[in-house]
Parts: sequence; C-alpha cells; structure tokens
Amino acid sequence: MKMFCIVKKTSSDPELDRTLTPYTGHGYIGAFGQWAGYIISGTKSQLQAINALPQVYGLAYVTEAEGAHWTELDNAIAPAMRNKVNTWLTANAQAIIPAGWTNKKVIKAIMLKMNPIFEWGQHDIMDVE
Amino acid sequence: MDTSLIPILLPPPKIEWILDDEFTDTLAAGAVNGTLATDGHSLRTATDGSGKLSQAGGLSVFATGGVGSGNPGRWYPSIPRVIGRAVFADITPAVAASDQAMVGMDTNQTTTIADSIYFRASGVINIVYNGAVVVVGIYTAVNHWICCVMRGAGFFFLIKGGAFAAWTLLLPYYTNSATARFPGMAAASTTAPFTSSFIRVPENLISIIPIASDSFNRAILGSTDGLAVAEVGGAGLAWTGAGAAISGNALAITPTLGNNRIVNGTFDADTDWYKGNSGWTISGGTLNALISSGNPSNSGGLGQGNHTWYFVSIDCVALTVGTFSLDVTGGGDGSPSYNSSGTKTFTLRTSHSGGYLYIIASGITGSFDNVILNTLALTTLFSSLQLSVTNAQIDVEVSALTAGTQCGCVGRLDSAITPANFIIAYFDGSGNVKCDDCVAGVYTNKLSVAKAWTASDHLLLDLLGTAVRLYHITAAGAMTLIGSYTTTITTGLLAGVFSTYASNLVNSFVVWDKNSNYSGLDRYIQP
Repeated sequence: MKMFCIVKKTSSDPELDRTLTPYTGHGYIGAFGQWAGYIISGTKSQLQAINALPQVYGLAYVTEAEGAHWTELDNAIAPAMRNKVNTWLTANAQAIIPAGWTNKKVIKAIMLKMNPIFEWGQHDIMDVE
Repeated sequence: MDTSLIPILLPPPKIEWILDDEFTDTLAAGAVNGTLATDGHSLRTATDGSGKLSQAGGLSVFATGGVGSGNPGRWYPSIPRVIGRAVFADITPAVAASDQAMVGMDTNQTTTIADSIYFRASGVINIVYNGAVVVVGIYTAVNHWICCVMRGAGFFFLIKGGAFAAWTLLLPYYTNSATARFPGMAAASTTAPFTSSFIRVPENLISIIPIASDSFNRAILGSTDGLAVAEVGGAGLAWTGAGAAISGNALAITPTLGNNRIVNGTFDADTDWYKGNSGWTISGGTLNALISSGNPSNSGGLGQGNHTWYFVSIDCVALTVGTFSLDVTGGGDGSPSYNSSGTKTFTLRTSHSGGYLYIIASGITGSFDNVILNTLALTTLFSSLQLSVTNAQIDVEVSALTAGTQCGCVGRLDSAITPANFIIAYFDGSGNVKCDDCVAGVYTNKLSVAKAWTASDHLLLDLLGTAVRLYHITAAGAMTLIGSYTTTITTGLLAGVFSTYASNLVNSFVVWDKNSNYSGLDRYIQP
C-alpha cells in the first residue's frame, strides 16, 4: 500500500523514525517551507501508524492489484483526512479543501504547490515486496 | 538549373515481411480464429470466449466484455529467436482506465502475452517480462506504436505515440532465451476496449546497441571496451576520474580524502573531547567506557558542512556489551549501529551542518581509538563518460559493496572537474537504494527504499526529460521499480560510476539511448 502525505521535513528527509515507525520507502515530491509532499510505501498498518503521527498529514491511501491501479484516487477524500489536512492548510495560509473533492484533485492541488512540475504517473515508490 | 538542388529520389529498400496482418478482411466477432493474415500465409489463432474480437474497417477490434486477461486474444505462428527480430504493432486504447491491452511476443498462443508492452489501469504502462510486470511509463487513450526486439536473451521494448513523441526505449531486459515466440495481442481485462490497425514482423533485423558499454575486463581503465552486453557497441569513450582504476576486472574508485578533522583522535591526552555522562575516561591512549551511555563528542575545531561527503573510521577495542554509532554533525548524519569490536568505517553525505562528531553510546563497555573524519573530494567520487544525449538509461552492476559505503551511478553530471548538478542513484550500504538530485551543490534525496544489495545487483537510472525512474535488477534479471519522480536537472552530458569507497566494485556499465536515435523504426509502421 502507498500513501500520499505531507510530512514535516529536515533537509529533504521526512521526520520519521524508521525504527519506531518502519515502512518500505519514500519518494520526495516537493517542499513547502518546513514541510514536504511524499509518497510512502509500507503495509496498511505501517502507513496508518505513520498517518497517526502529529507531523504527518495523510491525503490518501492507494493500492494496486490486477486491473486496479490507485482506483482510490477517484473516491472523495475521507472526512478525517480532509479535516486534518485542512488544519495544515489553514495553518499555512492556504485555501482549505472543500467536501466532495476526489483524492486525485486534492493531491494534485497540494502537490503542485510543492512541485510545479508534479505530474500523475511520474511519482511512485516501490511497494512492500 | 542548379541540379545540385534536385534530390535524388530512390525508392526505399522494399521491406519483406515474415508476418503482415493489416486486418483488411471483415470478420464478425468470433470468426477470427483459423483465418489467414493479410500476408496470405500466417494463420491467426484467436481465443474469444465471449465473442468480443472482430475485424472491420482495417482494424482489429477488441470490445469490452471479454472473459479476462488474454481472452480475447490473437496470436500468430511462432518465429525462432533471432537477435534483432522484431514485432511491430499499433494500439489505440479506447480509455486509459482499466487494464487494456498487451502486445508483444508470447511463449504460447493462449492467455496473457508473456513478454509484452502492457497498457494497464489508470494510464500506467508496464513491461511484461517472463510473466512479471514492471512500471515503465504513462499513457493516454491515443494511438501508440510498439516494437519488441529479440535479444540473444530477453527483449528491447520501444514505444512511440502519446507521451512519447519519438521512439523511446522503455526497458531492455536480458533474461529468457526461450526460442519459440508467438507474436500476439490480447485484452488485459474484462473491460479492455482497444483497436489495432496492424501487426508486422519484418525480415530486416533491428540493431540496437548501447551508446556506452564497458565490461572492465582489462588491466588499464582508459576507454570503454563496448563489451558489457551482448550487443557490441559503445566502445572508445574515455573515462575520467582521478581515482578510478581497474581492480580485478572491475572499476574501483578511490576517493581523495581531506585532512583528518578530529583533533586528538588517538586519545593521547585527556583533551578535546567532551565526555558527557559519567563513566567515560580517556586514559592509556583510548577513550574508555564502563557500562556507559551518552554522547562523547569532538569538535575538531573545524565544523562539518552540509551537503558534503565524509569518510569516518573508528577502532572499537574490547567491546563487551552495548551498542554505539557515530553522528558526524549531531543532526542525525549517523552511521549504522555497531555492537562488536573492530575498525568501523563508513561514508555518508551530510544533511545538516554541525560542529561536533558524536559517539552515540548505549550501555557500552569497551574502548575507542583512532577516530578519523575526512571530507571526500566530490570530484573523486565519480568516474564518468561524455555522452551526446541527456535522455538515457544508465545501467551499473555493483559487484562489491562495503557496508556503510555507497556505490551506484551518476547521470546528467554537468562537469567532471567542478561537479555541481547531477543525479546519483546508489546502494547506501545500509540496506537501502537511494536517488539524490544535486542542484548547485545542494542535495535533495528523492527516493529512499529498503532494498538490500546482493552481489551483482544492477541499478538502472532511466532519464527522460523531467521524468526519472530508478530500477533495481537482480543478477537473475528480476526488475523492480524503486521509484520515480520529476527532476529539474535536465542537462548534463556526463554519465558514469559513483562510489565513496575504494573496495566497492562495478563489474559492468552500460548506457542505452532513450529516445534520440530510433527514428529509423518509422519505416516499419508506415501504412
């Protein structure tokens, strides 16, 4: 499983302790001040544990299977995730995410703030083997 | 009249086809199997369990509602494996949503196409190799031309159309030397509408050779030998790099070290070290711990810079209990954790600046001596070649890797003398594969994935415009996408090997042109 998220960073590294909250890998998408957008891979429980950290603002979980690649992107953003990321957006003087936006629309809107050349299909990370 | 301006119009050499099916005959759904291709001799073998494969208007039509992957599908008689033998076809997916189509060369005439280009769900292109899949790009619901070229073992997969304005090498792979191959195309799911206007196998053989290739099987580094892969080519390019040399038929880079930044690293006196918690002493020429924790530190009076590569070494004597590591800056630029005696060495790139080197100890009993901290001269971490293209696939085989040190490849390097902008992909010596962008000397780690190195693992850095993809390839040929991202580093014509330690070895190095030199394939897709 993979998760698009905003994480507080040091240099370009997410402030995550891979010993305490292990995961498979992360890909850096772009920065916004002391924060950055990442795609992180790991098991479902690993990613949920990471998303529970105060320095992490999860945007969406995505999965891959035969015939289904990140289909969750077409779903509306989960209310809990929207509330949490809106907290971050407000704190950073950015417009909040309205209800009903799809995960894809939310991720693209936020990642483009961090990386002007963000493009779907160009950001990926190895999943759990 | 200036006759020099009159072009000499010669007909291009006629292409002879081993297989040519233009789908010009109209066939109702369910009626394709057992008919002959347009060439009049190639038998079509179709699987169409739900009547979704038809031909009309010069198109092979795959309608939605098939049985599943490989059904409907159509295949042609087997062709023997001959280096350079190629299958050409075009594919127009109706949508880029569900798994759509696969086109290539199969091991049989049923189910999925074992070696193929696979248009998958959500607009993702995969390569299917030996039945395994790996992500190689993105597509939209427009016409694409594909080309699969046989190698002695494995295939080259190329594509044109959609996001690929020119013929683009997706991935080469070099396993699977099965002889019988059946050209074919098939639906990839139950909802896979697509059309195709031809599938062809020309008599002409397609030659794809690397633009740089080196096996390092010689005594003096000099220039590339063109012998790293079966396709001989890419010879005669001169290697740069002051510390690069051949070692045991492999390339080794010995970086240049700066002066030791640690003052009193030999503990000749009880000076210069802040010993932190009680339990630490300096005596007898060593730093001693008795069930001690805390972080003894040494400023060295110099301070460590950010975005800088360092070499660190420490002797641990008579460690009986506990663990320790080192932090070069105090900001988390740390070594692996150690729990044994012996000389510990590692190299790393700092992500912080800091004035102190710390020994991070936990319940340790033992002694330390000979602490060394040197900068690594960046120019001596590379051995590179001058290319003529920026879009390339750089394939490096790492045959030896010392734990705690880094080895891999560099691409789009702007200068061998004053390197400031480049992309490096490497095994980090701590169980990870990483990829960093360096812009004006400032590094950004773009990918960090837990992936242990095994002898003769390859890293393949795929560079196409702003798109970067990094693959891990095992000695057995299993390919994994480590990750992908967008980069702002789009220039730089040097590519080569990156290593931070002299004992690391690179056994082969290959650069494939990504999309600059394949326009000659256009003649095989003309109507």
